[in-house]
Amino acid sequence: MKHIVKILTLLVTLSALWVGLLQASIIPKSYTWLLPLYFIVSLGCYGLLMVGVGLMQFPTCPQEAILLQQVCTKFHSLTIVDHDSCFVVLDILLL
Amino acid sequence: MELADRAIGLLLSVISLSIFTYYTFWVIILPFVETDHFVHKYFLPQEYAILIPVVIGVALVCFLMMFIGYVMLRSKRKNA
Repeated sequence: MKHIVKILTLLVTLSALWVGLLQASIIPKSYTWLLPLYFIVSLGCYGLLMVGVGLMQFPTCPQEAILLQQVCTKFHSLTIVDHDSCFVVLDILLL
Repeated sequence: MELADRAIGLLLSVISLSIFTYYTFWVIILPFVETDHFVHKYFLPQEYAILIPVVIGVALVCFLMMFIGYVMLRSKRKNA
């Protein structure tokens, strides 16, 4: 409940600031809706850009994938599907 | 598989950058250009700079709420 109160207070202060700036005629009246909308659109664009950049830089670790494949086939061939030892081996590999 | 990921990431970033530059140009630079410059041909009238994001935003919010309602109804029907 506290988090949404924080977000709402932030929104209210920002809009109060914007209305105050408009009323004091520091900003021309034609920009009433334009500048907040511009910031919202640019924020969405920035989020999309970060998602795209993260996708491009995501590491696939091909060597670890091969090692993991070997471990899984080894355990499958032993026909002892022991989940605990599998996790222990995975932890050792990842460390 | 990582090539497909990188292609999608590149496409997303290109789309976001192009939208950002077009919108910046439209909103911030164009009001300071004289009205008989040829560049005005490539941009819609300024009212659309407000209308189009608002319409898209409203459509997105409607779609999100419909999706949430659909998921809630489906889980309720599964429980009952």
